[in-house]
Amino acid sequence: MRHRTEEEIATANAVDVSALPDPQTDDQRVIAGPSGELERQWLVVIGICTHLGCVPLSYKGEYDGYFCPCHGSVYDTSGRIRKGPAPLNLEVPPYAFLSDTRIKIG
Amino acid sequence: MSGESTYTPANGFSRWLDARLPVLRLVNDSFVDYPTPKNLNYWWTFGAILSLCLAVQIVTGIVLAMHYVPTTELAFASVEHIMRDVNYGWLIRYVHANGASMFFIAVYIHMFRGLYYGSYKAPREVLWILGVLIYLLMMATAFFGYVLPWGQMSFWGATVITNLFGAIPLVGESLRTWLWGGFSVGDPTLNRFFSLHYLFPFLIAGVVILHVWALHVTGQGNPAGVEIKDPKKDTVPFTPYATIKDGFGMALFLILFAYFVFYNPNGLGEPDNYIVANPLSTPAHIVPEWYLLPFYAILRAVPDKLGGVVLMFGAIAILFVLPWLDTSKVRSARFRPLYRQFFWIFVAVCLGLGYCGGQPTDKILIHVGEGGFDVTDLSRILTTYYFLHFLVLFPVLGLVEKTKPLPASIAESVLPHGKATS
Repeated sequence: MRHRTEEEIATANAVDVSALPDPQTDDQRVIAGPSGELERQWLVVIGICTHLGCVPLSYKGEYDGYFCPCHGSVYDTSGRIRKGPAPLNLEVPPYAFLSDTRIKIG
Repeated sequence: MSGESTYTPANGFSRWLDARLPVLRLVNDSFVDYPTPKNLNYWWTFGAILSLCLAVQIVTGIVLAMHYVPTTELAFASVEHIMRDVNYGWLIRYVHANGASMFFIAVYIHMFRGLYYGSYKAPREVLWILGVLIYLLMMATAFFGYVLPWGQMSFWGATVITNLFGAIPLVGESLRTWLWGGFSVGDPTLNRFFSLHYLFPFLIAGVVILHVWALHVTGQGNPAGVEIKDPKKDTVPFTPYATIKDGFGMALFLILFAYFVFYNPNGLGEPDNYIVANPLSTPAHIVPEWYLLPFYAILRAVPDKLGGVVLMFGAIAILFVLPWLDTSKVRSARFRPLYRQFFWIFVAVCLGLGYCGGQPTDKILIHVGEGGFDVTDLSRILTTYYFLHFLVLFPVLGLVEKTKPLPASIAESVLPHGKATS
């Protein structure tokens, strides 16, 4: 889980989605909260690299998102694969906002 | 095994046994009277050195298994118990751990010897294929063994290697779950790896017997690469000549072995493996043991999950068909001036891949402006060359190369000019 800054959300949205290995907009990777608005500041992803299952390091790599130390896959602030051997974006698990301060994952 | 048996039982008991189970005859014909080419050099002692390595690994391994506990709760602690509390446990474990590295040093020299002297060529194709099979079994055994101490490198090595199978289309994910015995590397995985780590050395021993059998059917190759014509002139009996030479080779090899065990026991290992496995944290720099680094570099060089896995296994699989890729009739690189140069380039490429496998992928080697030529770029060039060496150079060199004249016999190749005919 990552509490993203405005800047991180902005860089995630500024990407040309069609050029990504696994095209997804940032909005497709976040869900709406109790108010019905997309809770863009909360990114929830499973911390397992989609290449060979290592745990990527947070706030590392060229895009300041995630960097996998095993084989050098680089993910952006939306957890999308940008560089390296991993084929898919970091998986977003099923989750829901129970209130403004509580979240249920799974 | 090849040729007539020269064994004559010396006494009543051996005559009695020979009529019932001719095991002494087998030993005599394989390791005593066995005709050995008289021009063998020290590169030919690595077969015996490898047998020694296998024996050392099995003996130390059996003792370690008496004290080791294959559960995720106790594995790491039991290894520390071996190191601290078991009498000479530190010695046994260091011999076993460094023994694996020594085994690979010896097998790589043995394999490059085979490549240099064309040992895989007819009629020794099956001998070579059995050797590659042993090498594959060795890598599997080493991998299983590396997982057992349940350190950080153990855990993440196991995770990465088992995930390789997840790259296989359609069945990959189910296969991976089946290998794990769960949904991630855990207790069932450790338990089965321990079982397989105990089993595989005996499979290796079985294939070694076939390897030696095949060797004794075709006869040993030799540095001149010409077959034995007249056993009286071209060969010497295995005992004492080869036994003594092999023994001397083993003694030298054991000096290197002892250096690592007593003076640098963790020099070839990773410090991170002394941290207990943590499924929530991958070490910042994860690398396999040195002997797997070239293949690791090939895996990382390919920007595609399945492609990387295919090329990595392909790099080993290609060795199986080498006897049919090489079109040259001449075995020994001594008489192949072009191949001899490409052989050394190939050695350098393999070492280069090993270097790349140990470095971070984005490490820049030659700076150009903002970026530059990094480890990934070098890995890609070397990987391409590795495959070109087999798929292009081996078939083409045999057709275009002008080889030097071969000696008429082994005897002629070792005696001063003019002496052989007298």
